[in-house]
Amino acid sequence: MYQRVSNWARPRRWSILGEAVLAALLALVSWPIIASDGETEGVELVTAYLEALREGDVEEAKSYIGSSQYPDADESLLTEEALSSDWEIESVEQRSSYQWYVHAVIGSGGRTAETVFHLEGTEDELRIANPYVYLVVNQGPLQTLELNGRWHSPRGLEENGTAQVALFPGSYDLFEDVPGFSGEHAVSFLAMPEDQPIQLARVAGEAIAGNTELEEQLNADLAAWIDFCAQSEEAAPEGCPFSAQSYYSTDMVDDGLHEFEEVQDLAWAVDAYPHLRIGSDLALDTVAPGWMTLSGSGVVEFEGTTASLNGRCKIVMSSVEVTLLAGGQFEFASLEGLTSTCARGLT
Amino acid sequence: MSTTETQPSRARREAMRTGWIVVLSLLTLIPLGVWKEAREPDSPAELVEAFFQAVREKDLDEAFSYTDAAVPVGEAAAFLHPDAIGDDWEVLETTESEGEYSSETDVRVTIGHPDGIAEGRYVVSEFDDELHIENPLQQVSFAGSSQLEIQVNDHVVELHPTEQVLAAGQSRQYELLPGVYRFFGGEAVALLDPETADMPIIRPPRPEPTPEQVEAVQAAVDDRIDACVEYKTAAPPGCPFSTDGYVDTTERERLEAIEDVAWTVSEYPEVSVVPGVDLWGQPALLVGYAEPGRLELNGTGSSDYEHWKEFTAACRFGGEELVVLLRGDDEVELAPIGVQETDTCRGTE
Repeated sequence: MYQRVSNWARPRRWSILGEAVLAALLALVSWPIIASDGETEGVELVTAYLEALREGDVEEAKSYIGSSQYPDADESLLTEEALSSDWEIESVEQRSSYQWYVHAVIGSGGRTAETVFHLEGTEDELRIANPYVYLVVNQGPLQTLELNGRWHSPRGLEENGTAQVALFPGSYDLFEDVPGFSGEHAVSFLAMPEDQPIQLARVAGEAIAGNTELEEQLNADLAAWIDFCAQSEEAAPEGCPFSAQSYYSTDMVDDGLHEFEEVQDLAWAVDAYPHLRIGSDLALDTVAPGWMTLSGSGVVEFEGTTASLNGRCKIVMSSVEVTLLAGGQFEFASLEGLTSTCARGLT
Repeated sequence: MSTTETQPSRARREAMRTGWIVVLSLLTLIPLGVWKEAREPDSPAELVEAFFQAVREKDLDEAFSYTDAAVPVGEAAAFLHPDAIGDDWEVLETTESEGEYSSETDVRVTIGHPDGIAEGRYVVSEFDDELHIENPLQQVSFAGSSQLEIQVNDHVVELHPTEQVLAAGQSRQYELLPGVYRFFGGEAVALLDPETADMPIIRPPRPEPTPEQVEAVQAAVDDRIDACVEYKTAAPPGCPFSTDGYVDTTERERLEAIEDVAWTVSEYPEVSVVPGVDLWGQPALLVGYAEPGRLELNGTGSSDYEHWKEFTAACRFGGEELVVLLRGDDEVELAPIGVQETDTCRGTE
């Protein structure tokens, strides 16, 4: 047997065998090149753009971008610091015969996001016409974003009540440094350009609405703020969501039953804390309203007699702006100069 | 001496032979390349025929390669799937005519299917010495429905919309390749007119809940009620009960300016699933109340804004506020229809 094999494998036959393998390899390598149309410049451009973003090279990425972006968007997060590299380029290809459309898919943790990049310019100088994702942020408790560890208050939010934030394609963690957003409550999303801007509520609403730890934090911070306001001896504690200041005069106090002058020993106490909840639309719902009690003494207007104040005053949450701050605490500010919220006394 | 002469000449022969093999191997690729080139359609009609052939063979990549379309992504592309493409049709005829511009050719396509024939028009344009079919995809709108599934031929897509979308019963748009489609197993519909301005609107059949789903609706309503009574407000959001602020107490006194509201369930309602319409007038399944159940509203109120008193009022579960959404054979979801019931208390005995 050994003799037969060694006879067969004489040097000449080894040579022929090797040449046959070489021919087959050549055919295998060459056929795909002949069969395919080759990688287009558009595919190369988009691949380079996405690779630059993965590597955090914003300057390089911007060199592939055209000039026709949405003009009013906030571009403050188009920075290296707001990028992450925990995503992969799954595919970049031209799926139709039109070289100005390039289909791309990115992935991370079993999820994928895809888009069609539109190209503009000339064949010699192609650029990406839709390089960004636009995230719509509305005024509300989560209007100051933390994306990939960077806090940012979108430009234009105060004036317009809504803002569009431009983001590079990639993976984003929302509020990752806030205690309530860890573990099962972590909110992350893959962003790729879409025809329409993406609502923040769409990517994070359901997760945030079911976050009981966040709700507890919100209401604990709210209670602390109400307690702080209750220390005031003013009829209209500054920046607070309740008041006993008379509608008719800043010198008078209205406890809901009477108008008082020359008020003394004014004191607030919490009767019931309000309870708030963040809904899936990222707006605040009032689960239970809050109430304050008011005590003190003063001269009843028109009667001239001294009497005790006995007010029960509503905590008006509709005038309160709630904002989640870096570190995970909520900040509260009452926007209006309130007049008496004491619709009636403690009868 | 003879050995030193033999080795170079042998090596040269081997090298030459290897070179010839490389050359011949590469030459064999020429006919393959020619064959590939010959397969490329070289007229507008051939291009359209090749496109339809690829669609019918469910080779989507091949089909898209003949077009200049921006291939849709995301939800709009849910039915650009082999299972969503029927194969019980064939192209009977293609005819070319002049297009609107010199670089364009109109190609009329006639297809035959078991229920008849259908015609459509496609525009083929030429640029960079290549022919392209102008976007042949057709947009189809599906009206809102209580079934969280859409079926196109053999492809079923499960919907996962947000509660806001569910409540609004919004229609959804998808891009489809040309061909013959049966939506929800219904009659054959030929889609062959990408140029049309009238987007076809598919109205899903009204679904029939299974007995398991009817039971699940009862459990889902009970759960929602439990969550709703957490709210100490007159009109908890998305809940099947509320007061408009004018309350008839159990002592038959009308109070207003109510405060300190608390809801307590006395008896859960017996719910049913009833046909109705959603906020957009689309057919939908709604929660009905075979027995309206009962809950108590406690709080304080006044009849004269001078004196406030504590009250208890009887209330019921109300109206057609919740849309029933069916998923699979045994799952349900509820979504508020979007109209807040104004009062489910007055008139309750």
